[in-house]
Amino acid sequence: MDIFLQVMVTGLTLGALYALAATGLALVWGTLGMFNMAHGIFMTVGAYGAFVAVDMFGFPRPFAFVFGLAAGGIIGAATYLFVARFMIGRRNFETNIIVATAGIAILAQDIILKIFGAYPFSQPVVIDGKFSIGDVIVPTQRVLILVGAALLLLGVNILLTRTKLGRAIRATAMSIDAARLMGVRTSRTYLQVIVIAGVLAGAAGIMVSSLSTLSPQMGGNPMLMAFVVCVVAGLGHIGGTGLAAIGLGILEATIQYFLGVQYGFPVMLLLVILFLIWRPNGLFGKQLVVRL
Amino acid sequence: MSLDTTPLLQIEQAKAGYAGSVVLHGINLDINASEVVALIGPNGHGKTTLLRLLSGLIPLISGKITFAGKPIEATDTSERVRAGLVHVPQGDQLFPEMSVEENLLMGAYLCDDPAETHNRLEEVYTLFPKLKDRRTQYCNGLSGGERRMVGIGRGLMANGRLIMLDEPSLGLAPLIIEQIYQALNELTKSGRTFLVVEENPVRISEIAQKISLVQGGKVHWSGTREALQSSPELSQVYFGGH
Repeated sequence: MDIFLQVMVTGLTLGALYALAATGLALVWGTLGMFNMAHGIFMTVGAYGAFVAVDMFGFPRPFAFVFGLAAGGIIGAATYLFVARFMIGRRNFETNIIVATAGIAILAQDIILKIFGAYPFSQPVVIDGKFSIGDVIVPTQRVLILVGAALLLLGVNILLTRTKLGRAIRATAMSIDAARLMGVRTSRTYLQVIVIAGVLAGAAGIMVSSLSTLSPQMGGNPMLMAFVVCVVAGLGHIGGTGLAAIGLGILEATIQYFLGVQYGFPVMLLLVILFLIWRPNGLFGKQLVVRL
Repeated sequence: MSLDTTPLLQIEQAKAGYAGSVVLHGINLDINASEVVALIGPNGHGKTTLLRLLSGLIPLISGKITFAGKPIEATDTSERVRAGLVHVPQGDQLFPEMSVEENLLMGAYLCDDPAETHNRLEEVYTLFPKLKDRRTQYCNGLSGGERRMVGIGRGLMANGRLIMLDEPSLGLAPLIIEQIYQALNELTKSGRTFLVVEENPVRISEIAQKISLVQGGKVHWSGTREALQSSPELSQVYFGGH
């Protein structure tokens, strides 16, 4: 029972983080047809945003959290307005945008390195303390991550399914021409989607850094994991992404528990490769996965 | 009060096409308010391309398009919808993973008044009662006739000044075409302006007062339904000797 609980607490926290990181990636892929290599740096920017808000501006932590989300949203908007906007609809967009966003990621990472240095700061937006369920000690921060991620994803779900804005986003993802014929300004929809993705990534970045430390390259692994989650779910499938994230989080935690922490990620990736050989389109995907 | 005599839609010498191939070689066409105009003509001669040009899905190469007194060549699709130019595209292009009702609501995307949206929804349900039964169903599970009803209904939800329908009978069984045309018949009597692309000549003469024949990317002939029927040559070709 204790083992189960321990694995579940770790697994669900990981899963919630993965879901948060992957949903934005899936949303941008599904709507803009754009594989955003800068998604990891969105997380880094969000994390540093929260750090700066506390450390330099002295904001209280809840405000700093929101500041971090805003920072993620702003770099998302910048990526669209200064780069992606000019490439969408052009020839070879799908490959060109991968190179372009990878460039943004490298540039932004170097700028962060230049400003803050390579020193691994600790994330100030964190709640210390722990409580115990039976013999299992649960850090409060992990519960906070779980609840925070769940609330954010619930918010995105409501936005997508219950609001006019969300309906326009889904319509644009399903058929851009038809959405335009309904009067949707699709370039604005694109901007909205990438800002939402940036905000979610910012939240993921703050949470990831609260479990480890801040560093300019901290977005790399979560980005890779977000990509894995998206591929397992079927690229662009938003609902499936959340489920796949929770599943993979629990799987990774289970492997970590029984084989040791260092085996969690590689063994899980091995299982993912086997899974994709069996189901190349992922759990919920209908289209062929794009060849990168 | 002066009587407004400028046509609702004026197309002058419009040229357009796709990458590397010009399809429309100088289209001239006027549509007055409350008119129902049908475009007929052989396949591949530019009828669908003309509608796509009018709604801004493809760019104009040269010429002029005026809608409601304003030039619209430079505006994008969503601006034209805002001006009241509504296009129900060929093959419906529904949003597959949305319910029937969500598709219809997308049609009223530009309407910010919930009560007004609700009224339009009820009007569509009155016209196509079947859609009310299917309202929560995803569109990718509908029959061809139901999909067409959603497509037309979605176009009506915009409450546009000119509604362009691209082959409303395409690919449907005769019985379903009958139902669709019954509904169109009702609609065209309501004083709305329609531009309908149709291959089925019998159906056309039911609803359209004015008919334009598009051939080789030009309007080859325009006139009333009676004039078309009384011209032995045209009538032979397009009405099969009716």
